[in-house]
Amino acid sequence: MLSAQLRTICRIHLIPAITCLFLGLFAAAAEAAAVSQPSQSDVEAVYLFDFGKFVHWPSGADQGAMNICVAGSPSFSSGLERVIANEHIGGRVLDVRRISRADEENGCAILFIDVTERDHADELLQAVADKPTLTVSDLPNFLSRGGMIQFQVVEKRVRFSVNLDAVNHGHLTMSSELLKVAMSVKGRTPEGGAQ
Amino acid sequence: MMFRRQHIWFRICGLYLLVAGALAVPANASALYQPRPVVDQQLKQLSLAQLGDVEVTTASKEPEELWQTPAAIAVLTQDDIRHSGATSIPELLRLVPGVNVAREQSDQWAVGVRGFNSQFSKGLLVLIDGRSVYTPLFEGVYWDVQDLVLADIDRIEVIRGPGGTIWGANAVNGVINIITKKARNTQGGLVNLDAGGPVNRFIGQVRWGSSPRTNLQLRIFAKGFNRGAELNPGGAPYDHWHQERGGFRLDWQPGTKDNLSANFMIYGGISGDQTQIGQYIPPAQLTVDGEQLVSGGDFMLRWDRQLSHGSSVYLQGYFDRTNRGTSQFTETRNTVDFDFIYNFANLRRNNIILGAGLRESPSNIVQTQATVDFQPHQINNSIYSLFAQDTFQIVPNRLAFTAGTKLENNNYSGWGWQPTGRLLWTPKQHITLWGAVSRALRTPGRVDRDLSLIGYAPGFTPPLFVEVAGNPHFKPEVLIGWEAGYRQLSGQQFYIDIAAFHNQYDDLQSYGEVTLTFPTAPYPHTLVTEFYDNGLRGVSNGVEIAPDWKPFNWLDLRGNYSYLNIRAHSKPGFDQAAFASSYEGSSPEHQVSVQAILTLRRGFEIVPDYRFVSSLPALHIPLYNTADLNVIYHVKEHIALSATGRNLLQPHHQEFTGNNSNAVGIRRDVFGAVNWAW
Repeated sequence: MLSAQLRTICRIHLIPAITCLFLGLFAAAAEAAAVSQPSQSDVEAVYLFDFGKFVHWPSGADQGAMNICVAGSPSFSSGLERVIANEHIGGRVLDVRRISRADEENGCAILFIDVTERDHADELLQAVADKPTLTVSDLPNFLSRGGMIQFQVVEKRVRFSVNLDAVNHGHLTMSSELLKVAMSVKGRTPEGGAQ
Repeated sequence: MMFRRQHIWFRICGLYLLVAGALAVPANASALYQPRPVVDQQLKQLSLAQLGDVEVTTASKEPEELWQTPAAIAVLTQDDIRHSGATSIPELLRLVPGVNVAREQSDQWAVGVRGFNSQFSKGLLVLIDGRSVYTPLFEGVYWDVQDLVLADIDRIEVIRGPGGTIWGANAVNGVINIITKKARNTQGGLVNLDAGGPVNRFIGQVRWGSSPRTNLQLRIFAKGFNRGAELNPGGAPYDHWHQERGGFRLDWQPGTKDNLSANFMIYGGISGDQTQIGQYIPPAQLTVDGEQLVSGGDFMLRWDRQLSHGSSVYLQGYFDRTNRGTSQFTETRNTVDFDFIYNFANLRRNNIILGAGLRESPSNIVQTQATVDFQPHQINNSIYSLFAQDTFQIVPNRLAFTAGTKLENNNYSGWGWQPTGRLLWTPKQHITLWGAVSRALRTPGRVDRDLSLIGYAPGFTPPLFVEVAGNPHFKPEVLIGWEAGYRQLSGQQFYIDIAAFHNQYDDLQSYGEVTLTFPTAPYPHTLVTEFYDNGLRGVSNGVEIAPDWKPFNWLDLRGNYSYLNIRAHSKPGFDQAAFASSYEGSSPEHQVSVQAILTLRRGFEIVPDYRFVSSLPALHIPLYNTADLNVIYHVKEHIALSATGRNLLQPHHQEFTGNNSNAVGIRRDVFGAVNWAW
């Protein structure tokens, strides 16, 4: 029955035309290069760079190289390296460090925990709990686990939410410009005003 | 003659390939090393607010929540809709595994999930922005009046398998959830014009969106189309069709946690129809060429509130009016519905959802033929429901168990339970295994209970008439469904979704008692009446496999294969073999579709697809395969041109038998479109 059907198809002269078209298109497609729509990671890396500009670290932690530590995803950290190459923020040189264990977190101004590190997130957060480290992740529930900034893809756009209580706990301050853009802000500013 | 033509084609083809191939190799190599920093530098120029507005490609085609869904779910995104070149919602559903879509004629469709397909497919629930478009008249969906400005659809979620626990009665074989974009995402203007032939003659869609205040967004839209007839092998074409609709959506955020939306839409249209109708004087069974007049509208208000830690609550209410005048009868229906859902997400290991709903849907039938009636003419189809469901994380982020039930009351069959139990295991990121067992009900509709449809059987003295009649004791059909599924994303490039099911049906609709009477009006005749009854049991088994492979960033290859086997048999005391074989043979045993999405440089997108549907023995519809091609060219940022060919492999093919019991040929169709968005 199927072969009869195939014969019917082949009898129709449109077939060679379509086959040609499809084959041609595939060949033409090979000529096509990447369509430059950024990935989620591309945008997140640029966000991390921007956070460096809109967050103020307490004195003592605002000197020297600004280390952006990345837990998980080597491809993310290499992307981030490209973003911060030859960049300075307030006279500080930027540096990307890949970390794989919680005891390596020393001296991180920003700690990014990739979604693949979900099993180690609590441990990593614990390790930087009392340090002036901005914690950022695209893990769901990151804020309720004590993280500071959580990325979320909403309608194909990367947005972020802020947990101010955690930010205050780390003695960091955020510029109002950053908070204005946040999708949601929970917690209170040190002045006591609700956000 | 034929050979010569092929020969020329192959020569042109060969030449083209040679040229394209010569260009291809070096360009492709450079693509591999295309410097990514260009993208990074562009992004770095953006402000924080602009960065939050950059559209990104996501790692998998499926949204992240999908990995946490213990059900067979497929999501059609706006990109999928645009790529398909489809001009109606049922055509879009052809892309989804496990969904049986057959065009009966220009304006009529048979759409089923996992079988039991007919123009009046029962047990498939369809919602547009939470508004049920399932009619209790015949317990199905009138697809001809379910339309939208397709560019304003955010996504279509198709859940195969029983969904009665959350969605309520009639979500037996599946649920289709059509969700439109928020007004925030449809700002600016849109004009979309399609023209072609011989079938899709003209489609015009316009939309305008604005934001009068920062927390208030609006869109207004209108759509109209004129469609030609398909091929009628038995005579003159009859299914010309036009329809117009318009409406608005308003979204208002009074605070950061609240969203209020108002949706309004009205429509009207006329289609040509051919129906068989019995006649007393003189006694005859007529094939009537008539017109079907449809109109209606809906207004919906919805309030969403985000609570702390991801908890949320929503309340919605809508009014929906439908009018349908056919050669057989006229129905007017006014539905008022309220739904409330509370989602507790801030519990440590539990996610509890509670819901309640009520619906009043009075229907009024005007009898226009002596041989077609519903008694009583007026009835109120009502539903009251409560549901509760909890998802418990046995091992957080790894193993979760979901249990819940719906308790629902309807005016025909009273209270019914629809429980489910589901287990979800995520051994690693991007691997999901799930299993479920659920009970779902297909409640009686007006056809099962109230119908009287009389036909004439020639050749007897005194004249013989045969009636199909509703049965006041018709019970709900019951499904116990067993399901399992597997999803995996490998290396960001290969995604596969596999689902299998074993469904056990009881009390399926059939005929039952037959009576012989001798009415004297309008003249003495013999009347054989067959009453609907719950005389069948059935089992369906099936598998759906849907791979999606992105070997290069410009190529996305998607396929799906669906296998379905239905066996039905009479319950003790019934002899309904004919009815059973119509269940068995009206849905395809095998369905295959393959789609390639090519995203090329210089603004070209090319999407060919191919589909195969096996035969429908009960309807004498042979197997068919056909192909579509959609070429989109983005001339500028705001303007796109497209050329679309549908059903290209043959001049026409049959997909289903309509209600004039003669299968029209669905024709090859070619059209072009301009899309201007600003």
